[in-house]
Amino acid sequence: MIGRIRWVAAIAAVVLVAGACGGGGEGGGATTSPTATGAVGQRGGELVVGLDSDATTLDPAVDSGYAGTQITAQIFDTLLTVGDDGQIQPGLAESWEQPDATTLVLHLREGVTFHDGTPFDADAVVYNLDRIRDPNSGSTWQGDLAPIDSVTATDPLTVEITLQRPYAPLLAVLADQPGMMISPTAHRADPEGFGDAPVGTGPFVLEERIPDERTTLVRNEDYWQEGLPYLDRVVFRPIPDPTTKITDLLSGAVDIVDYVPPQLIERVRQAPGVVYDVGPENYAAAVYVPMNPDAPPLDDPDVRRAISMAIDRRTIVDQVAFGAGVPANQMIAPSSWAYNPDLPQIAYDPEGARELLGGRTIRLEMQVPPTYVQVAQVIQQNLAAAGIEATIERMDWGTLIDNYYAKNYQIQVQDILGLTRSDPDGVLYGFFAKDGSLNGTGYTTPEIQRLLEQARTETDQATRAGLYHRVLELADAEALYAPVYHPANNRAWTEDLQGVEIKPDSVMDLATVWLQGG
Amino acid sequence: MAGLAEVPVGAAVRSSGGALRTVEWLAAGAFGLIVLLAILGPLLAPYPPEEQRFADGVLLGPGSPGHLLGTDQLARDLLSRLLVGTRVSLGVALAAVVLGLGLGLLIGGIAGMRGGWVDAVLMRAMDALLAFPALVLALVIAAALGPSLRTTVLAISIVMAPGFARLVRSLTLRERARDYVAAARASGASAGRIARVHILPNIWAPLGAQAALAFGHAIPAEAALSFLGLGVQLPDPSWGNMISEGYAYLSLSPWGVVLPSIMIVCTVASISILADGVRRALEV
Amino acid sequence: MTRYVLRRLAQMLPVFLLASLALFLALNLLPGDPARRLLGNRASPEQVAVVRDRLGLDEPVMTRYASWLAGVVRGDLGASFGSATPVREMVARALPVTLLLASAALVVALVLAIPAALVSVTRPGGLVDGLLTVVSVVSTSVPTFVWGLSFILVFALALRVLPSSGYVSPVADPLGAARSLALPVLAMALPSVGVMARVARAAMLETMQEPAMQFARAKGLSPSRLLLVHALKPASVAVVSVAGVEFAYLLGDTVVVEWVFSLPGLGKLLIDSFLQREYFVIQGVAVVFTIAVLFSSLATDLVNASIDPRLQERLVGGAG
Repeated sequence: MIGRIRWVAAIAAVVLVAGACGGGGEGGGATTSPTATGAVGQRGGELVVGLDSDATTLDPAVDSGYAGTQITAQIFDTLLTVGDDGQIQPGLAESWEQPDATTLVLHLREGVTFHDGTPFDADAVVYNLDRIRDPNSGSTWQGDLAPIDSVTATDPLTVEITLQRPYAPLLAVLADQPGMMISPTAHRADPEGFGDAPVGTGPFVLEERIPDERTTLVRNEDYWQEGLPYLDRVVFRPIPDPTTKITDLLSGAVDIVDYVPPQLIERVRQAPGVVYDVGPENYAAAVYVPMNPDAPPLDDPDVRRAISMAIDRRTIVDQVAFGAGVPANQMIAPSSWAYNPDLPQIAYDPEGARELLGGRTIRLEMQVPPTYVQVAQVIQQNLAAAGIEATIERMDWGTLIDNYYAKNYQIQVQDILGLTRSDPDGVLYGFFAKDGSLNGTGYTTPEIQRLLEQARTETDQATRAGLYHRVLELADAEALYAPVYHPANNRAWTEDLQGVEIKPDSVMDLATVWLQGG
Repeated sequence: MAGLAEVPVGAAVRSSGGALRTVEWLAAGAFGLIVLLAILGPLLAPYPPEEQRFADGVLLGPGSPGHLLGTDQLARDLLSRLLVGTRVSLGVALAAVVLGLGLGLLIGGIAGMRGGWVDAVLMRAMDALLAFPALVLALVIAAALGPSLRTTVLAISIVMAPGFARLVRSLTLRERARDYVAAARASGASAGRIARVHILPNIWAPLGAQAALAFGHAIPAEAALSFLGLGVQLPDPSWGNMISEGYAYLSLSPWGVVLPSIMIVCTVASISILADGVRRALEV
Repeated sequence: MTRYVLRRLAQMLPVFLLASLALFLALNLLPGDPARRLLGNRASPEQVAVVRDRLGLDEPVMTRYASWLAGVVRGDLGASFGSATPVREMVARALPVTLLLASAALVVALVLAIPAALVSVTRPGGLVDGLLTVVSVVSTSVPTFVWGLSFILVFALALRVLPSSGYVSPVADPLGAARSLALPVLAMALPSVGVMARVARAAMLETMQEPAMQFARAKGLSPSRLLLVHALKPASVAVVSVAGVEFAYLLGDTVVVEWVFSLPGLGKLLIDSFLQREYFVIQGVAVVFTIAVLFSSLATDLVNASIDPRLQERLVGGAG
């Protein structure tokens, strides 16, 4: 869930560099607008979305978790977008070019305004990117924009970004949360309160926000994409108990849910009137067990390896998740070009684990979110078979994530469900670099750090893949995270809801869905 | 958890006196059987209750080979979980009632024997506990001490203590007012001796009736707490957390919810019928 | 009457002080440093010191209690740690939901219990009486949350006639509110119906056996008329006297019912706060619960006293 941080973009993140080599051609070519699907939808209606937890904030500069991103993606547009094929496409920037390896020029869409009437222009882009880059901003994405040297408005609709060094993932970064544009006027007026009163250019406008109860958005009547959105209103309801969330879907109290937790997949598959579907494999989707190396006895790599060996991944996938996933041996999904095919599967080996522990008795506390109580009980029994006594401490997602980043845990059951940039830098730098935005272990080795930095500046995908393979190999030896399985990118909704597409990054696009009938 | 300990559920008016009726004998039989299951449960259970036997299959229905009542979502034997869960749930309720009764005896006894400001302070303290709705008090205690089986017992017993304390106090006052107690006091018997010899033996019957009622309330209290994840912790089975877990799988296999629910209802109903009968028979 | 009310309020004060003290101590005398618990292991000692200072954790515990209590009296319940939202705001939103739920459940329980008792008393020991006894035992023996889950199963999932969750404000949409509250209210009311019907039945039977009533019956007054005219009032007194206690339990039941039906009341706020380790919110919400209970018992006593003035003296004298 840490990783339930949204990053979108493409294998084509290399485009920046490739473009530079190609002498600065038109990147996405000011081609068709992403809306050109032909408006077949039906206007009107209210959609109720069931989420695992509430957004911690609606300010896109801060990681707002999986739930938060599902909401902010409806309020804000990104400078660039990414297609299902991973290609970077236009967003608020209609086109872009790269005159050289360290310069990116964005040509902005004309006539776009923020919900508060502020025009969207080059000055707004400068304000946004500088805000995140400000060392005092507290933004989660500071590291992602760190290679930027300066952002300048060369005319009202043109922005020039200058880099300190080549930075392959940049386009992917701008197609993700760091590229979400907020209204400078609203932010200047009340920077502290912006997280509760967000103003963007997106298809929906915030109407009301009641923490832990609901967040209501209404249609943006002046949305720049003609005819969109279809819905009049969207209500997001945090429902922390997964069974309740799914019951509400089956009874019609909610229309769509963010994610179907493993134990409820079969129930949803069998339910009448509900569509269950699996989208393209996520760029990153893993259920994993992070192990805090500062909390003894987890400072001992043998203990961490023993835990990883003790987990019966096959049983968890087949029996708990009803087959909706594949056992994992690394933190990146097989769909990514950075996936290391040479890493062996982690064998289920309780005896080996016991031997590694050398007769020690180990007691651990395992922090578990509601979504994975069943998975956690299997892990608990697995660990017991290896001589590790783990108690289950249940808590809500928000607390779990806070504890993760604060290193306030021994081991947890965590997940990352898409919401990552297609560029593998997102997830790999995130998990394994010392200052990575997903690193809840606070740990790295100099070698891993060096390889990750190098991969950021390399231009050739094959070279980068080699570097990432090595990172994954070294990380496997450190065993700071025990990958458990790559869950299916699943979602479920009422059959009255039309036009739902599950994106590779798992973020909902509610502008293009509509309710049939009433 | 309606009417915890305070309300005489079977309020006294019935054709009074006499032996138990048929339905009450039936209730006694049912309750006896449940208690027997709780005592023998772990011996009768074919498997350890937390053992996941995935090779046998998940969510098997009753009558499956090797699993009389089938298995749950983690391929744990339902019969074993139900039997051990019966012991856990009854055990928690019993421990809570005993502890609550003990607290009540201590506090109510001291208040009744000492009187004066001690009485006033102790009874105000009991009123203060009554000012918390039962589940709220239990949740605060779980928040303070961390949810566990022990916390559950403690929480429920603290919820029950004021009811017992008030009863003990009023019974003590009643007994103290009797002539023989006054005589004992005049002959120089210590307060402790009076309490032990003269008062305690005379208040057991009404206390017992109250304890039976309290037990009938402790069962759903534990179930509710465990259902919310604040009571008995997984993978230990209790009726409440079996329902909570099984609810996710309801349409695939209802047994994980239905069986513990039936146990709860049978237990509470048989206790409440039985408690009525006993009260009437004793003509309290 | 005013004197009576004042004396009852004066009696409530020490009870409230003790309740709030118990609550405060329970949540503040935990082992471990609350600031450290909130910030996690990564926080530097300086950060911890700042938070300790902000929360006033270095003051003696009684000083902290006093300042917290002074806040409660002023209506300031502190702030949630995570979101910095004042607890008062959260409570102000949630309290009406909980009060509405508990009152509606009480009313429904009363409306079902008194006629049930009347019917069963017309022929004590008869078929109807027996049937009602069985129904009341069963309704009381099924825990509230099991009723709730069963109703969701039948009315929301199978029949799809009522919503399984969600809250609609009765001000904005009375019909929608009635629909959204129907199942939770019924789930809460049913266990209470059994209790109240039995209390009412017992009171009616007692009245019927009084010599005056037997005399009236001997004179040929019809039993149903007798019941309606003479037995209803004592039954009401008996029921009202348990209604106050019952209301306190219903308030407690909101915790589990609001969770099952996702209703944004105090009970759900309490569990959310528990799962989020928001101890200050738990403290604030729990103290509001105690105030609600104390006032509901005051209200019950007042109603009782106005029905039967003799009670005033007794209640004032022997509230212990």
